[in-house]
Amino acid sequence: MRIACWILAAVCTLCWMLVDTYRHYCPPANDGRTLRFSHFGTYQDFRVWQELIQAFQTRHPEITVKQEYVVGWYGLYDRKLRQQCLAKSEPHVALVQASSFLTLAQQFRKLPVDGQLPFDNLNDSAMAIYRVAGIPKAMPVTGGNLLVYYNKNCFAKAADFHGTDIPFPQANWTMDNFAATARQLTCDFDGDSRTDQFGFWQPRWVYYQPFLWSFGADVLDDTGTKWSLTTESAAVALEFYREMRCGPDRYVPLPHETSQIIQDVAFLTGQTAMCVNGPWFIPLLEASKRAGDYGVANIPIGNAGRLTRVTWDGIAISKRISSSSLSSAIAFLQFVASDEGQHILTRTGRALPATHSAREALRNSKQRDTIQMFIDALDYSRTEPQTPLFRQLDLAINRHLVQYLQDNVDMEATEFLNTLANDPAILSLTEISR
Amino acid sequence: MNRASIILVVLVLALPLVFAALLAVGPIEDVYAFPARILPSNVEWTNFSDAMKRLPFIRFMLNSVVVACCAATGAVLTSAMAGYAFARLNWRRKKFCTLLLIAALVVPAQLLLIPQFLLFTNLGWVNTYKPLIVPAWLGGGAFNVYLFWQFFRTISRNYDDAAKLDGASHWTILTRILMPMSKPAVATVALLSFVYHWQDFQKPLIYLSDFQTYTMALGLRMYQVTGGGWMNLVMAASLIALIPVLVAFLILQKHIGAPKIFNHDVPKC
Amino acid sequence: MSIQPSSHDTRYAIRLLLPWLVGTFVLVFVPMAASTLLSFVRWDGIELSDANWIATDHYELLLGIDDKQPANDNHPQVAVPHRSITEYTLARKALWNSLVFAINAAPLNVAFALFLAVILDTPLRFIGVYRALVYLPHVLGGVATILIWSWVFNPTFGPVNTLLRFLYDLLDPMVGMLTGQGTSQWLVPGWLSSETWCKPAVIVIHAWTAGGSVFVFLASLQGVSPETRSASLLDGASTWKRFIFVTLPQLTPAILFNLVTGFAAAMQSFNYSYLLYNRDQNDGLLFAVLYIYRCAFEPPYRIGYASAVACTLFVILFSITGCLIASGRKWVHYET
Repeated sequence: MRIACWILAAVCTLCWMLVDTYRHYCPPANDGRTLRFSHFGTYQDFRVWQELIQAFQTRHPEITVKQEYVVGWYGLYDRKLRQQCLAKSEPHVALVQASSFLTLAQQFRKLPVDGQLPFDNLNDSAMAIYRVAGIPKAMPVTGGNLLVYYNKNCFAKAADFHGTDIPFPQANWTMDNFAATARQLTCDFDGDSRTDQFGFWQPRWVYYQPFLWSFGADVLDDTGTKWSLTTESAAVALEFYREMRCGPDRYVPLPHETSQIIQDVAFLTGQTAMCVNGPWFIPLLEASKRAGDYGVANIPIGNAGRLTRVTWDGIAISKRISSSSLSSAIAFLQFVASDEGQHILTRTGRALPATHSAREALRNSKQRDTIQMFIDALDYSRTEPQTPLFRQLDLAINRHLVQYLQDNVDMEATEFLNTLANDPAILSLTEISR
Repeated sequence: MNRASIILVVLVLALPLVFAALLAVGPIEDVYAFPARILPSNVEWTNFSDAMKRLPFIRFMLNSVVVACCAATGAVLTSAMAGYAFARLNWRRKKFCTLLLIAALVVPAQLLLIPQFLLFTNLGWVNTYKPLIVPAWLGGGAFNVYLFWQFFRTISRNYDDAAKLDGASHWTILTRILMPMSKPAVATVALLSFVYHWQDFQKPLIYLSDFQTYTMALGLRMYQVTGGGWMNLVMAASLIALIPVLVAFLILQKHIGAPKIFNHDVPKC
Repeated sequence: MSIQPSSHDTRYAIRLLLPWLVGTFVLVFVPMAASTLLSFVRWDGIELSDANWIATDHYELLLGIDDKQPANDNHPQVAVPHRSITEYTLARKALWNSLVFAINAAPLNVAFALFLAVILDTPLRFIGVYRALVYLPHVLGGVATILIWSWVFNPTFGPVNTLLRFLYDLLDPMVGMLTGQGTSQWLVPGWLSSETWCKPAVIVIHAWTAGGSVFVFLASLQGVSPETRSASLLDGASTWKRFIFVTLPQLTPAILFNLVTGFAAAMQSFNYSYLLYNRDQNDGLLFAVLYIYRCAFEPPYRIGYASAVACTLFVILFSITGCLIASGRKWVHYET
């Protein structure tokens, strides 16, 4: 009797331990009704996608979408996706970003161009980045471009402090207007020789890209293969960058003045009066009871006019998907690109719709003028040149900029550009393109 | 004088938690006030509920409790069994097994990380709690076995002999006599392995990929990644995450402090 | 008490030992052998047929004998095309960081625990409560407390630097009188974000959790025989002398024990590194285990190289532990 109990317990334990192993090697046959979809982002993004999936399932009760959410920003998600591709266990449908799409594109199938998907309704520049050899491999779903946010309370405080009126940014302000405003906004209210309010801050160089472009410079040429941050205008743009935080009347904090603070919080708490950010910042500002205290302004006009950066998230379908699942996947993509799907994804203001019709609907809804600003700015937004070496470049540029943007280092812009161009990471870029 | 110094030390040790608590109840503006303010300008208890709402914290907490409790139970049970065999039984190759135990004691866990991962992946256990729980049910670590062995040694064999005369089996002796008599050892192993699994960060990081299965440690990391600037909420979340460990500690602490073990048997390395 | 192994005992012992024996072989010894083997192989951990025997290449690379980095990417189309963090040469830096951390943190923890144990070894009222409170940080350590500590060390807003600035202000007139220049030019450390100060900061965080060792010391202190205590009291030895010549020698086994276990734990710490290391700033907090983790579990999955680093870590740990134990013969006083 007792031995029987023991044997029963042992068998049960073994079954429990091996059930996953069985599932691992003999997965239940997929009838095409279950669709795995993976995405990244914050918990709020998770909730938005959850809502979209629920709406999709009420439309298509025969399809179950399994939401696989990877916490955090794209870098972590990207690694995970590659890991899954290697193990041939990637989700059927995945959210992707352009920055590293080139090296992943082979893992995804060509999207049907027979009119099943509303490519005509989608933003052209967004479509362009997901085309490989002319054929779309991912469908853009939402996007975001960068503009200048400004905190109205900071303007009022600085105006009180200086005793002068500081006007809000004009629609067509220039780089000089911008610098002058930022300088006025930089204040040491209590006179302890520590600046309490900085005019501006952008923590990573990608947020400086709109400025770089507006000065007529870029890190890569349009093909994404040649390092081009060597021009005269690049030197001018970087001189401007350095003046911001190392000049005699600097208006951007140094790294040690902002450690462990993220840009969003620095702006929210009034430590920096202006910042460059995308539409995804809007829900956060609204949630923190500060709606109405902030405004959005255009990128200032530089020597080469006005340009800003836009990024588009896309959805791609795995190349290993079965034909029965493919129709479910197409249905899912259709729903994401439909007005209803686009509305769910962009309603909170966290992103801009990728379709023309959803964008027009949002423009006409007169919902929030901040979102209007972002939609209008799409006219002068561009995507950055794509390169498989994006991460490597990003790291190299960051590390060199840290050296260049220190107040105790005396370095000419041209000298900096030289050392940067000779960084092994950047040299390898030209090697590969050769 | 002695009392004063003890109280001083305890206060110093408590300081980080006090800072965290003061930060956790204040508004975000206080966090970045300069010069730093000691007391919050305005007490906002809603921070705690906000912190729980931003992420499915209750879910993470329950996941962690399940994992830590299952693992602690297994560790106590199986390491007590092995400890009993070492302390009370004479079997062939006992010397060899003793050597194995000492060897397992010094093998660093990090050396085993990659092969264990390969093993569990091929078993299909990734994204389940099995890689976290099953190892605890397989002896629960050499140190715990050693602890029980040494503790059982300090208990007189007369108890066993008396029980044996009454016809008790080894299993009865272990569960009815020795385990109740070695509450300190049980409490120590239970607490240590509960705490270990509660705090464990690396294994969940490697094995858990579905966000719904995350444990508390991973959940807190999520906070750092996606909302790191909201220091008051991060602190509130961190403090909430300490509560279950505190409860486990308070339940088990009066049994802990098994001085005898170390008194006589600090391993003569 | 039977000396000879009995067959009844053997049968029973096997049943009791079964879980532990399975665990030890399947989860400790087989993986250990596998780890050693893997370090001689270039493999991404996916298809066993892709594994390449490359003998000691990984160790040559690690030791810098041969700096030719192999093209390891079995799947260039999916592998991340950057080598920034898992660059081969960074492994040396990571091992060095771990070693420096452990060599400083382990003795410091032992000293701190010894101090705590000595002041807690008095028959006061509520002493149990105080002991529990000292033990508590050891239990609470983990992700939550590391996040709290990372704030405590915040260079601008953290309490530590706020206190330092306050001290600078206090000292200002005095230093000004002595050197002619006040403290206004003195800088506060950047702690976790600075290459020089990150290790001291982490060592302090680690010392906070020293409570675990306190209990081992307390146990040993209660073992100090009352006879020797009272004998030395009669001799009129001062408290300090009594501690050095009577108490301390009897604590040496516990010191060695704590030192060995503490060193092993510090060498293998992962959480500090994972949560506090910021690759944009400097590599001061890149510990060996984080390196191993990233090398093995991130594209391009250098399982073999990660195993080589893990084995090297083991060798370092083992030899230092061996040296400690061997030196113990000189200074550890065992009661006979």
